[in-house]
Amino acid sequence: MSTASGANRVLERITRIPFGLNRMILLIVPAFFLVLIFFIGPYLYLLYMSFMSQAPAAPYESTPTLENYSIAIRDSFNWRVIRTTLQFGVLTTLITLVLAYPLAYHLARASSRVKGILLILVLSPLLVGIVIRSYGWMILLADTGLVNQALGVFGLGPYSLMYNQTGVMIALVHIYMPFMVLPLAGSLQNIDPDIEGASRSLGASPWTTFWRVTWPLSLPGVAAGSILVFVLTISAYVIPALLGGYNVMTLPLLVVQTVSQLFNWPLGSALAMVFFAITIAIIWLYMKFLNWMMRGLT
Amino acid sequence: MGSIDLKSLTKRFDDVVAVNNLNLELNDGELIALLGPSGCGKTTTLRMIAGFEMADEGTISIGERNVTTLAPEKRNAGMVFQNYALFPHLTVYENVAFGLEMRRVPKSEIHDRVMAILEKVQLGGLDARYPRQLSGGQQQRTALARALVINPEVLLLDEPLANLDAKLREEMRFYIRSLQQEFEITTVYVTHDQAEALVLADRIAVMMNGVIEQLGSPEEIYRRPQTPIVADFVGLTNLVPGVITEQDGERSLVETRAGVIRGMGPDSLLNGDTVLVSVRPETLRIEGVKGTAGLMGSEQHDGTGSAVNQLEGDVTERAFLGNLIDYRIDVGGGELFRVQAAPTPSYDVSERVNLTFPESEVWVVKDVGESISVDSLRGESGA
Repeated sequence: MSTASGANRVLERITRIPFGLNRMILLIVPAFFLVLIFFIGPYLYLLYMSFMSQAPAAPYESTPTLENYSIAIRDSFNWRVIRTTLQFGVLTTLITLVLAYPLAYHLARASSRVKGILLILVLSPLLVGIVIRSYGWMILLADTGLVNQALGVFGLGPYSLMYNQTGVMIALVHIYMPFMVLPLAGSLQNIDPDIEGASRSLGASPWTTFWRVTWPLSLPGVAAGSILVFVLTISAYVIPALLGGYNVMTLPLLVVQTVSQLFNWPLGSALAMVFFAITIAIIWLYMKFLNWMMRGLT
Repeated sequence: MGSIDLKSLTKRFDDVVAVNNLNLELNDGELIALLGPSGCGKTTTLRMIAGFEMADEGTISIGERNVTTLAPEKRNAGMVFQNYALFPHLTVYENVAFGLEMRRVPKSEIHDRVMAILEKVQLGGLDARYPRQLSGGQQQRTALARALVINPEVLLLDEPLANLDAKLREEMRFYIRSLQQEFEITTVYVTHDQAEALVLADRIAVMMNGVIEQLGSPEEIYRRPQTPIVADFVGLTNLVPGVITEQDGERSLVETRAGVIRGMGPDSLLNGDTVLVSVRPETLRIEGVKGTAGLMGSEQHDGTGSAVNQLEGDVTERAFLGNLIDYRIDVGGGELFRVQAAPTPSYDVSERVNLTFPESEVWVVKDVGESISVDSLRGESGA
């Protein structure tokens, strides 16, 4: 015993980090450096670049300027793109929330055997690569695609379901659905069915029980799911590119175009920074709002 | 306030019959305990009264109303759940006010009624707390207040004390009983704890396998069990198989492997019936055998001169329980008697002792072909 604890003490002394840091901190070191090098670093570099001038033969020229931000903010086209992008984000989030909620509720209350099967079905959109899946949607949604052919049998259509916002929306909702279902199911599963029973026995209808009890208690899941879906949607690139066919312009497409076709790295960086700031502000406000809604839960 | 009337109630889950043709009538203001092991159908019965499960067959009436197919919110039944099921996102006040809001009671009246009932259950001043900030006992009383404030016709309690520690559980028994009597509210109390049922209930319905084995006052259930299962489930007892050799009204003479035992039994018993003799451990008197044979059998003899209700055996085990000593005594014939006696005088393992027990404390139950299950049960309870 004494030798073991002695060895422990030695080990403790060797591994103790100065400045009074706990050894547990070591656990986050790998992830910290990964984020620092591959996320924060590039972001800081983009920020730096956004204040530099455009150069003909290089990404940028080291002359500080506010020109890029001036262009990014004053061009109304950019604002239209940002609006479209945020519209996609909000709509996709709302539609997935409405579609996912009943599904998640069922999943949360299902027997464990059924739950396994349902989970696989819910996750199925993620089992195929994003490009392949988008081409799958193109086959279905094209003017002569499966959906329009089927509608044609009933004398309907053809509807234009692709290379427009409709097609992008359909694909976004499909692909980001699991990111809404899983957090929702998690928080719904934490609600004891007896709590809903208590509400009923106190005189609340199923509808009132939902709005007064189930919904508020599921808000942590709603928060997690909606933030995930919103962020993923507004940063989506492949889906708007393939299913929108560049008729639909979102900010990620615009940034890539600016950088890779106009070779204007500083302007692309500035656009990205402006959008980043807007996104952070929206999410911050949304979290504020949700925290106010959930004030009793924590 | 209202009575409850359950008629031929049946509930199946897939092919399992949870409640089988159950009939039970509660008088206005009465507290009935549904007592039984888990899976006996007691909770399903309660949930059917509350409206959380729909009966497959039969009818449920509360007061004059047939509520068999009504939704829970239309039944006006106050329910307290085992885990209390308080709304975690609402304060104590909001929890208790919930049912009144649903009834569209004016705000000022809600305030008065909530505050009054919180005072009554000794939660005054805690109205702004959230459930997670309360102790188990306080949560329990919040749940009671929430169920009672709506002036329900009936109160339904599903193992309300199961999640409390032992000392608090004992206090709460009396508390719930006094609250129930103050409100004079018809109450169904589901429990697997026989001590709880004995303390609280006006009547106890012992349930097994979806049917009521016996319905009666706590004393009847404890002293006059009608079936071996009830005798075994309620309290500790020694069950000794035997055959009736003489039946005179309610007095029985039973031949057992341990000797002849005289006791009380229903007058429906007949000579030659196979029976189980139930002797409660606390009714046996234990004495040391001093080697003087003259002492033996000095108190009770039957007409023929051989000793009855007097057994001699060896202590095989003893356990100190504080206020009692729990002995196991081998009385021969393969019968092991459990005896609970005062700690003085004390007897040691392998000491030879005399056991005597009055005829009035021995109860004879007809062995209705359940001897196999009873034997196995007896192994557990006797051990």
